[in-house]
Amino acid sequence: MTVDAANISLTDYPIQRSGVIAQHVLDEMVLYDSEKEEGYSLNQSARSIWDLCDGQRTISDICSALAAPLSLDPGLLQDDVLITIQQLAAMNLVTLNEPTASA
Amino acid sequence: MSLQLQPNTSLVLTQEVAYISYAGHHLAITFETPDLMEDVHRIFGKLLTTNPPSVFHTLNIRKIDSGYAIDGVSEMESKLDSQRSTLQHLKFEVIHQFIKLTPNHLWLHAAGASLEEKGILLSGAWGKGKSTIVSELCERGALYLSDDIVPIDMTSGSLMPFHLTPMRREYEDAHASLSPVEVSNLSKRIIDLSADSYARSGVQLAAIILPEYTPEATTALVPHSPALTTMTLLENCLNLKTKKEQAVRFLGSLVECVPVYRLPYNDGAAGAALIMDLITE
Repeated sequence: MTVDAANISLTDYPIQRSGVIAQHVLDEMVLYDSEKEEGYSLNQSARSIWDLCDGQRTISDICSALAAPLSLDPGLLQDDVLITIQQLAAMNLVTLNEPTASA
Repeated sequence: MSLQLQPNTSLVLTQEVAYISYAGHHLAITFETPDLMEDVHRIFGKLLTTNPPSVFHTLNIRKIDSGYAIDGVSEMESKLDSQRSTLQHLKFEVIHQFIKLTPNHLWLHAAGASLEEKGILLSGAWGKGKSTIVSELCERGALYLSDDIVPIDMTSGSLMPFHLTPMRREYEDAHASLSPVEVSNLSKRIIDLSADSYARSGVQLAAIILPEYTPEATTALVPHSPALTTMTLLENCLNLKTKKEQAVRFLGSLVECVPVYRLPYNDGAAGAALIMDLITE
């Protein structure tokens, strides 16, 4: 089900949608939606975000995971990460996962 | 893809059937009207053969009141109103028939050449100047694979020769900016290659080039995004709809193994020279 991308928030749990073929190409990525028969390319930054959309992390968690190796304040990444995930959701490449009890 | 063919008065045809061969498979085109025979022979060039031991399929061209019809096509009888559209459709149908017989091939709308046993793949939409670059490469000693359709054997990773007759568009004013429609209406000139300028076997890929003919461009090889290159190959993959994941995986892996460049150019000779240097350095 397509999510309302504009209403995605930092507390949501994005997850890669099944049916999307993801192929790493060096440090970038190609996504192919086999239902819509459309392809998308992700640059290195977007690919890093995509890789973390596992349905177990909130968007805030994703920011923290990206910021840690760079010793950055996760808050600095929030806007870019949120916009990227909203774009992925608008293209129906990610959806939102219901958090599990252990999450 | 468009073809505006020039007359060739030296061609003498006595057959009412043409046989097209690829990878040991033979397709027959029969003619109930002779109108298109010469054009078919001109388009398919070195793919034509004589007296094959068997044929796997036959396409029949006949004249009808409103134009032409092709029997034996994949979906339904195809009725076409002009010679040009009939030839375009016939070319598509021939390729489609070979696609069905070669499950381990990806078929790309692309041009290709071989230099010192290294394959050069030129990909991009029509009108980008692939044929110009491949003809310039062949004038400099590269071997011709194709100027329009390149099959890739996914088992070996080889670019395979598909010897449609090489042609290139004739620009009256090389500095004029043309719309896509204007480009499609330009006439095409046959490139006369010697018999030993045709690659006889598959060749391993060494570089992927995305030509972009632009009158105001400075001719240069510009390193390009691997993901965007993969996208370009997928957009020009003729059997993507049936291969899907296999095509995405294979082409993504292929792009990882070789250098990929954009080639904005306003001078085909200079563009080809840059590619020659890249491959031979």
